[in-house]
Amino acid sequence: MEIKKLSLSERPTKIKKFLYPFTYFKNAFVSHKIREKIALIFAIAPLNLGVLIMGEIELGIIFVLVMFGAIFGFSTITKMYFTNSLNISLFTYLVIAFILVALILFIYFASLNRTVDNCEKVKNGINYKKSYIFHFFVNIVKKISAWFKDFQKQFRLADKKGKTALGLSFFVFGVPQIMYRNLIKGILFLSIQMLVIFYLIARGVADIQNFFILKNEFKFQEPIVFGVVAFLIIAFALYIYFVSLNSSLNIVKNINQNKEIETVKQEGVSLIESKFYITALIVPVLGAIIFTVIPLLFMIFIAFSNYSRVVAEGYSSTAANGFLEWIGFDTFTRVFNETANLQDLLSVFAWTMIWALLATFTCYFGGLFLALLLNKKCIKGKTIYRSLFVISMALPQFVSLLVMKSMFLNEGPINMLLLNMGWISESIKWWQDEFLARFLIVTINMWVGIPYYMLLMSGLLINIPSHYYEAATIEGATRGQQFRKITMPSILFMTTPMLIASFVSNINNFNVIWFLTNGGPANESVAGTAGKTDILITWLYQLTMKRGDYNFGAAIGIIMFIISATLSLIIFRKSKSYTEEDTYQ
Amino acid sequence: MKKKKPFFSKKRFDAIFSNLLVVVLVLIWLIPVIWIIASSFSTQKYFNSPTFFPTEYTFDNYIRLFKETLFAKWLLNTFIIALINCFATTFFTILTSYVLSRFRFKMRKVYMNISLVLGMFPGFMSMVAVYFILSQLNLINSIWSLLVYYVCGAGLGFFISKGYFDTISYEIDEAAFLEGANHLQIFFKIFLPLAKPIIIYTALLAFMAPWADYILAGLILTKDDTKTVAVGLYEWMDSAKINTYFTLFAAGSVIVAVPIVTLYLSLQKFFIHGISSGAVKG
Repeated sequence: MEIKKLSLSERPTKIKKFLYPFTYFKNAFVSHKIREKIALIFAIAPLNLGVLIMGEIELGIIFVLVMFGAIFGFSTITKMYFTNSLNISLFTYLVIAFILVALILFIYFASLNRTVDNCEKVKNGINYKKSYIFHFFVNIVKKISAWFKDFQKQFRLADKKGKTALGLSFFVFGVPQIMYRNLIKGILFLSIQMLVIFYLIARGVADIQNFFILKNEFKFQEPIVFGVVAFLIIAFALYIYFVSLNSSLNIVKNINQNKEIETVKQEGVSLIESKFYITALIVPVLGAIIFTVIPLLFMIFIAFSNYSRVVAEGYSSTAANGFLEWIGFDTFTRVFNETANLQDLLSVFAWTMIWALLATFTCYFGGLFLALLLNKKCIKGKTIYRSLFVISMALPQFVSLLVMKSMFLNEGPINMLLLNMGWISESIKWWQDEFLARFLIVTINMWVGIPYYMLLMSGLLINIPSHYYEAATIEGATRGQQFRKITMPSILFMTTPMLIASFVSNINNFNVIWFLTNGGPANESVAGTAGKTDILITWLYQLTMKRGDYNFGAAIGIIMFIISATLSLIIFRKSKSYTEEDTYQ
Repeated sequence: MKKKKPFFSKKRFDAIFSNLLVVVLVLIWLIPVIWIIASSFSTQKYFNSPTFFPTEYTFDNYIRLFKETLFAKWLLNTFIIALINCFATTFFTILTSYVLSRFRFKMRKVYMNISLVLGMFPGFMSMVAVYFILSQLNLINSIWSLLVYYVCGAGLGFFISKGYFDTISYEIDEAAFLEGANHLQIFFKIFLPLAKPIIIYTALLAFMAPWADYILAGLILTKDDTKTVAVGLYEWMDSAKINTYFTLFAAGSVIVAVPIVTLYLSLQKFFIHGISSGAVKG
């Protein structure tokens, strides 16, 4: 059957793309079956059940939940703000309200679009993945049953030696490999099994027990860290189990088909030839697991325990409730249900978003402007100028930021200069005023960040083919037109993924805020813990490192992690480097 | 036919204006740098000076820095970490990027996605666990702890260099394969020379990291003689200490900055090449 190309890809302009779901409704009810009609009707209604009805369960549930959360959050915050039970500034309220409304509209539109797309696909007889989780499990079951069928077949065909090998491979890793002289693999598998068994007897089982009970005589983080390690080792052992089973099956299969088996020498060679990636990745992967994955899991678990109270009050095996315990979702309810915490969270979140937006765009366009300026023909000594700008980029950040901070201190040189010139009669308290401090942070960040973008943009400007400009000049385009029609589109096209990535990294920009203000000036309200220039990450640092409230920090860390991980995964998967990886050349 | 230009043409005005703007901008960018250099030679003991630039100059601060404080020790610590980190991290990052760019294996996309997500995680949130693991390895208050931590993160920072490798044509490796080279040989003899800009870029960033890292270093290195310059100098800027230590801080900053700025300036060409080709794709 010839499949009609989806009208999705035929939509030429952005306006048309935006209106697509709406124009589609014209003929929707005529040409569709009853389920699609219901889905389309529900897709217009606010809670967006359309995607769910069309069978995309996970996506539908996520849409509904996010939509519900956003509407609920928006109405609650609005109500609390106008009844004065929530003490946040108008600015914070507006930013939060804007983000939530934008989120609601985005989900509404995305869901509508998705529903219409799926209806179209159904109409054209195109299959689409309905449930990812379901699909995943069906795939696994299919694979396993196929494997067992293969296993049965090979077992029947095998001679006595092969049968023993296959039978033994279920209990002892690596025996078939050793029997057929694949010594490297065999010894590796066998020794892994021995080590894991030894580990489990020596401490693994006890570690897992301690992980679940937590009450013990050790240092307080010990049971959680060792529990995580035990889980990872068990997962690794299971993985190796499947790999060794599969490899035994392959060996017997080769014997049955009278193919040659790898010799030890070939095995060794393949580790630096076709399977070089295994050799190369062992150290990096192991390092990442020890110092990134284990700590990460540890932190996630911390959010569900009473760790910070134990740290604060000291571990005690005698006092009532002096133990480290699992407390479930208590910390998360603490974040959202206590007004003081909610106030902090909202104001910090609003400022984080504004900061990330301002920081990214000022540096991006500032860098572009500077690069264009330095690219002009009339400017002599470009390389010298460029090098002078690079100095500020090359300075270690703590030096440049601390210098900047001290320049604007109350007794600092800027105030002295202004006083001496008689422009002000007493020193300006730059860092004590909320607005001034925020303004300075963004400005100083420009000072730090623009040279980097300038270098980047100069590199990119060279890449734009010069015949574009020549053609434009012949056609009589002005410099402004050339910039709008040639320079800007090419630069934007090349840097969109980087632009968004730098937005995400600015959300996590610890150095600038920490070295300049430490998050201050402090909030006047007694209950709050966040300063006025704190962004999420510095607030987290205050909470964990300075106040020892690890649970609260971990809970917010998880929320933040979910937001930025989703954002960056979506961006990465849409970026050219991911989708067109192999076609780039 | 050429028109005769008037003296104050639009073009000339534009040129004058642009040049003026560049000079002003350069001054804005340089004043803080000049100020800190000037302060490092200041005779003033206290932070609050009555003028913008100090009025009298001396070399005392530098002498005091090395005689009366542990700065020399900190400098040495940081330099050792930076140098080893520069080689080890670069090696592992480049190797990982090479493998991810040139091989197609089952877990490849999974690995790339996971590293991206892990990179989004606020690092210091897990510092408690990192501290614990390092203490189990008996590495607290030793500069090797930082090194171990940095090198172990090397396998996750491959995005830019992988993007760069993707742009190197496959035909080169195929030709080498036909000649009978194996992957190790291709990696060392063909790839490394071709990837010079991105290697220098990675190495430069790896060399810079220990000079700027404050969070982990501040947590692990608490003894006076094991600190790195970032931790030591940051503590001098504490509001309680700033009046006694400010000029020393300035001198220390200058000493730290000079080699790094020199490095940057001399490798600028590679740096531009690295960021513009790697970042765009990555």
